[in-house]
Amino acid sequence: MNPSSCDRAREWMSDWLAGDLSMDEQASLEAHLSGCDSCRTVLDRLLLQDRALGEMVGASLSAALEARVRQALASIAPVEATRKSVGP
Amino acid sequence: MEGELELLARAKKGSREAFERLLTPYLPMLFAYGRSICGDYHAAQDVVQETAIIAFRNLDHLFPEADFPTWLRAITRRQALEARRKRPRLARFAEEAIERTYQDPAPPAVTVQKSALADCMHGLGDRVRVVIQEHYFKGEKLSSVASRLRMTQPAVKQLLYRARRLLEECVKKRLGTEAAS
Repeated sequence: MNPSSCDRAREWMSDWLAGDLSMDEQASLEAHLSGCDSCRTVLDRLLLQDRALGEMVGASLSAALEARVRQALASIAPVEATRKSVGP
Repeated sequence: MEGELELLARAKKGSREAFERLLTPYLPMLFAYGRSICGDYHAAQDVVQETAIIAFRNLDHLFPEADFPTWLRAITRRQALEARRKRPRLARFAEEAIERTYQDPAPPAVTVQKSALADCMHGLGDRVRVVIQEHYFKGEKLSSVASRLRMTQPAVKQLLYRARRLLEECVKKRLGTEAAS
C-alpha cells in the first residue's frame, strides 16, 4: 500500500473517531482498510486508545452518571417478576 | 462483602441499591461504548441512563449463566444505535472495529492504557492538550473547539491527529520502560 495513502487513511481514522468524517471520506477509508492490514492494525490501536480515553471521561462523569441512574431508577415502578428467561 | 451473584439475586428481587452496586463499576465502559457508537458525549450519557432503566426492568430476563456486563453492553448497543438514528449509518469497518474493541468488558490492555494516558496527557503541549480536553472531556464538537481556539476546523483535526500519535508514542514508551524495570 502506498505510504501516503496510509497517512491519509490514518488522518481519516482520527477524524472518524471525532465524528467528523464525510460520507465520501468514510467510503474511501473503508475501501483502503479492506486492502491494508497495517492500517487495520492501526485502527484497532486507535480504538483501544479511544476506549481508554472514553472510559477516563466516563470515570470523570461517574458521580453525575450514578446520580442520573439513581434518579431514573427511583422514578420507575417496582419491578414485576417475569417468568421468561432470555440470553443477552 | 457481597459478590456479584448475591447482588444480582437481591437486585432481581427488586433492590435498586443492589442493582446500583452491580452497575456502577461498568458505567465508564458503558459510557465509552455508547459514545463510540452514537458519536456524541451528551447522547452517550442518556444511553447509559436508558441502559440502567431497561436492565433493571428486565433483570428477570437475564439467564443465570449469562454474563452481566455482556448483557449490559448489548442493551447499550441497541440504545446507542437508536440514538444514532438521525446520523449517517455506521460503516461496516467501524461497527466491526468497535465490537472487537469492546468485546471484553474489562481488558487489561485498557486498564494499562488509562494509567499511562493519565501521565502522558500532562506531557502534551498546551494546544494539543486543550484539544483533547475540550473534545473528549467536555464533549465539544471539533467545530466548537475550532471557534474557541480561533483556529480552522482542519487545523483542529490536525492537532487532534497529532495528539493521538503523541499519546500513543508516550504510552508505548512508558509501558516499555515499566516492562524493562
